[in-house]
Amino acid sequence: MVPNEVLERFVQRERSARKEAERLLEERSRQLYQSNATLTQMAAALEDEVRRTQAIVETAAEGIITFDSNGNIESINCAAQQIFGYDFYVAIGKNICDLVPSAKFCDSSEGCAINLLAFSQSEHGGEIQGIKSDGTPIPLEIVVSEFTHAYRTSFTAMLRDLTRRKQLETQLAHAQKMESVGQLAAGIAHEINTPIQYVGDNTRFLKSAFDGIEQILQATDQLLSRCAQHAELESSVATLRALQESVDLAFLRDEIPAAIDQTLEGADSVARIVRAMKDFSHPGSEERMRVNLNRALENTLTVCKNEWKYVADLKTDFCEDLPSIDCLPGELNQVFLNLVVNAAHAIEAGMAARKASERGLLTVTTRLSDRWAVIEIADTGCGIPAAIQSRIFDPFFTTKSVGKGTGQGLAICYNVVVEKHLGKLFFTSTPGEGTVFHVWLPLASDAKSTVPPAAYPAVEYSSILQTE
Amino acid sequence: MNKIKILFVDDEVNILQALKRMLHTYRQEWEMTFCSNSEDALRLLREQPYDVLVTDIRMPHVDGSRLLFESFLYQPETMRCVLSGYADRDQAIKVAGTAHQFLSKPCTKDAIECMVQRAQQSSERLPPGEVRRAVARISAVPCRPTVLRELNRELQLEQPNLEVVASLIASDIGMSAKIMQLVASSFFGRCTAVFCPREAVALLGVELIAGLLSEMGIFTPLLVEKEILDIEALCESSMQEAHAARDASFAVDLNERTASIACISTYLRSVGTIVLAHLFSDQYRQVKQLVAQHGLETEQAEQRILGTTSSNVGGYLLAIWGFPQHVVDAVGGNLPDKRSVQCPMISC
Repeated sequence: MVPNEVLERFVQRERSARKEAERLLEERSRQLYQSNATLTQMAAALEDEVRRTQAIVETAAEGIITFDSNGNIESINCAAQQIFGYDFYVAIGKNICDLVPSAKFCDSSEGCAINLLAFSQSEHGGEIQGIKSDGTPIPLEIVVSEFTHAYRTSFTAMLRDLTRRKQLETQLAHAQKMESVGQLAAGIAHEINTPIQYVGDNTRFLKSAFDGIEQILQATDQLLSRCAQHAELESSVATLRALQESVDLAFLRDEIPAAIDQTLEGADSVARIVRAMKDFSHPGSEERMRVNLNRALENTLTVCKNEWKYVADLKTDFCEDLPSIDCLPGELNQVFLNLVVNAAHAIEAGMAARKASERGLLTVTTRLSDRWAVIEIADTGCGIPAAIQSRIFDPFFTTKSVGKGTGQGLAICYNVVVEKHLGKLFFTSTPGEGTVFHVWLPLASDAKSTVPPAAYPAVEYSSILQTE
Repeated sequence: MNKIKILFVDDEVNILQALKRMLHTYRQEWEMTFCSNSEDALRLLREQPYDVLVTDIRMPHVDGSRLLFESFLYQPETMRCVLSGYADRDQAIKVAGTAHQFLSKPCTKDAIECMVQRAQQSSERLPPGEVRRAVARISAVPCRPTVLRELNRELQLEQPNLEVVASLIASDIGMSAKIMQLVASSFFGRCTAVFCPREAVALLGVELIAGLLSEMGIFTPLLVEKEILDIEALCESSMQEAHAARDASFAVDLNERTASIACISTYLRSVGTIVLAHLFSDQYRQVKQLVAQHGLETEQAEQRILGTTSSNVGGYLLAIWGFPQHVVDAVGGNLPDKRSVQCPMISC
């Protein structure tokens, strides 16, 4: 019986032990299951986090490039791809020095990253030049930072494209230059006008004085011929005649009035040029004002005569009925000046290309077309090659050699005509034959045109009374 | 006939000597004094009367605006003329009210001759006396109080609207006359003289007009009872008559220019009346009474009470302001000897 009991107890103990084991197993499985679920969750969350970070980097407005200490590019985001014009997989094979050559500054490759790092931390941490995939340079702002990952040092470069800012800066600098030139011109005009006033007055005095002297000389002639008949006066007459001969009095009497007239003509033409310059540049013209376009064009052609008179003849065909328009006179003058100077340069280039010496023709036309004032500036120059026609209004685009053009001229024209005056600016060009630039300006600048027309027609006094 | 007395002031001796030589031909008719020191000029102006003062603006010590102002105070009847090469905005605004005419350097002999003839002619229109002294001193023909209020309100805005300003000024006779006087000079305008008040405003620019109002208070409202003069109604009816004159000119096939002259002359015809009502409101009340009670013609009544007529006053004012001869004759009537000066309003 005892063994039975023992066996019984043994079985019982075994059973409870098994139960306990089963319970434990179950608990462990549950724990395992739970931790597995947590892990899956965590993995998903992590993956989500990574995607989020990637998305942030990818969609960042600024270019982000990472590279190792040898400069090998490890990642490049969308913005950076766009800035440089590289595809992701192409860029990955490149070195940072291919994109930012000035990083080559140091000898060792590692130095280049440090060099960039130092550059971005330096005081002028501003502009550095990058090279696009097509080889064009591009102004960049770069900030580089260092990070360590998996015991490896890498670098992150944040880049910003400065093209637009540079363009605005150039335009601002240009505007400031124009303003100071304008102020200077007004001052110079004043300085010139004072002497011109007395040069003119003195010359007019000489003219009327010489008229009087001429009358006296005529009377003297008569007196002299009568004196000659008297023997006792013969020697005196001979002396006087000899004196007249020696100063060539006949010549003086012919030439003095002519010299005076030419001097007056010269003084008038100086006064006209100065007036054109003053009108052209009148400072403080940020305000909208009514401007007679024909006169503005005349002024422009006068102030830049030196640019075209050696290469071209001028033909103007102005529509006299063209009404004055409200505009920004200073800026519009700048447009006309740019277009006329460009036309002159085109003619010069055309002459050089043909090795010809015959002069070109610069034609400036104004006309009315419905609700538009149309200005056409035509040249018989080299024309614009078809390949670059689409780019000529781009900022910084220029075909002129360094120092001759900023590439801003036509971009500024476009900005002034199209954006500031709601007008149109376009061209028609035949390579080898010439170009016509068309400026269309609305007669009424905006909704104000609904106001009834002026109560009185505008008439210039000069057309009624004979102004000089 | 008395010689016409002219004082030329410029700190540049060369300018004065050249003027002296060039104008030597007029020595029989003109008595000219040339003064290169503006302090001396100031003394001369206080000591003796001149018919015409021609002065530069920028001068050391006493500048042109000061001279003009002294003359304005002590010798109002002197015709005051600026002859300057350059003046900045502030200087220009300073003289806009005190000077009658504005010449810019370089100017021709004809321009100076024309200006002096204007002075002579104007004194024939209005003989020296109390009325002339008062008229020569006004900076601008008084304006409609309502329009002045509106104009001030508009100009106080951050960005005043050019069209609104132009319309307001065009709706007032006095403001129109002043703006047209200024814009015709190469000094204020750009040598583009026009017959249209709106055009004149556009050419001068809102900024300058705002300066004239805020810094110089150039326009004064006409504050007299309606019985003496109803300025609001007068401006409205003058505007209608001006339009009618224009239409009539077209109807008889006159050209655009002539029509414009007719139009603006008609519009400005009442400047004399407004000026008299402003300066001599009590006497003008009597004029009105005479007309109402005794059936006199206005001209007769004006002559009896004031010793001159409103058209004489208008003609005188527009002549010293350098308005074109056509307009002066239309407003003031032709001079008896039919002598008329054919010269531009302002040379440019």
